[in-house]
Amino acid sequence: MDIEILFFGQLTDISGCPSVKIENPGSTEAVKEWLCKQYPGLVGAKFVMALNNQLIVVPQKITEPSIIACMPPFSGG
Amino acid sequence: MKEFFLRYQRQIILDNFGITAQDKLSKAKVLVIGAGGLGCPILQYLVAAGVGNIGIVDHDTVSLNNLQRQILFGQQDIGKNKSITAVEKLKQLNDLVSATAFPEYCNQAFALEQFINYDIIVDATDNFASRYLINDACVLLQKPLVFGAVSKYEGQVAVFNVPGMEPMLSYRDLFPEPPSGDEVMSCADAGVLGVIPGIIGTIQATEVIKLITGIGDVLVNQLLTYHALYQRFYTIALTPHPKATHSAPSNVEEFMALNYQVVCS
Repeated sequence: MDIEILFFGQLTDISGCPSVKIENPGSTEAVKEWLCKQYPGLVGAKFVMALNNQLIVVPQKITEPSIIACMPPFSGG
Repeated sequence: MKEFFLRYQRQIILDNFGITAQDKLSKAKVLVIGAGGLGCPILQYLVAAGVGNIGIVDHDTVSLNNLQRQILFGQQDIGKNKSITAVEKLKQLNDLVSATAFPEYCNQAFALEQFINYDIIVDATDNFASRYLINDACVLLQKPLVFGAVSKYEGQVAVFNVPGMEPMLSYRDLFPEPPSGDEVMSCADAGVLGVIPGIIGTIQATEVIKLITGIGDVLVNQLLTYHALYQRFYTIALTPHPKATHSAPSNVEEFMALNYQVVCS
C-alpha cells in the first residue's frame, strides 16, 4: 500500500519534487523519519503535516492509502 | 440613494446577496494591516464592494521594486507613505467609503487601541513578528482574523478566531511558535511572482465579504494553499493544537511584555 507525500513552499526546493510516493511506513512519525533520512535538508526545516486534509497535532497511525501534505509557514505579503 | 443602487447593482442582483448584504457591507468596519502586495487588491476590492469603513495601517514608503505587485501605486508615488497614498487612490475609486490611513507600525499598543474599533482584522503583512502580534491581539480581543501570506509561486489563506464558530482557532494552532530567523525566507530573499499576492489578497477580500454578509462557507479553521505553477488549490482542516494556548500571551500584560521582534528573529 502506497502513500503520497506532497511538498509545499520551500520544502519543494529541499525535496526537488512536488510529490513522492512511498510504501506506507505505518504512522505520521515514521513518515517524518523517512523524510528526514531521505531529505536531510528537512531536519531543520519548520513544517506541519496534514493526513488526508486534516492537520496532525499528535502522531497518527496510517492504515489506508493516504495523502500526507507537508506545509511550511509563509511570511511574505 | 440612486447612486448607491447603480454603483452596487451587479452584486445587489446576485442570489442570496441583495440590498440586505449590501447594507451589511456599508455598516462594516475592516482594518487592513499592510498596504503591500496583499493589501493593495484587498483594499481595492473591499472599497469597490462598498465596505463602509476601512482602516489601513502601513508605516512603509513605496519603492520601485514594490510596483511589480503593489498595484495601487504608480511611479509618481515612490517615496510616499503607503497608507496615505492608498487612501488617496481609494477615495477616487469610491467616495461612499470612509478610508482612514494609519501611517505607523502596528505594535502592541496600536493593536490594543485600534482593533476594538473594527469588526474584522486582515493580516496583509510581510513578516512573522507582525503576524504573531496581530494573531495574539485578535485572540485577546476576540476579533475575527483573515490571514494571507505568500512565498515565491504559492500562497496561504485562513480565517481564524470567528466568535460563534467554535472552536476559535488561531494561527498558533497551526504554528504554535514562530520560526527562527533562518528557517523561512522572506519575499525579499526568496522572491514572489507579482500575481501571487493579487490572487491571495483577492481570496482574502472574498472571505471578508462572506464573513460580513453571511453568504457561503467561510474558510474558518481551514488553511487553503494555492500553487500557481500547478494551478493547484489544497485545503486542510485545522484542529486545536495542544501547544497553542501555552505559547500565546494569556492576558494584556503578557502581550505587552512580549518582544515580537526578538521572538520572531
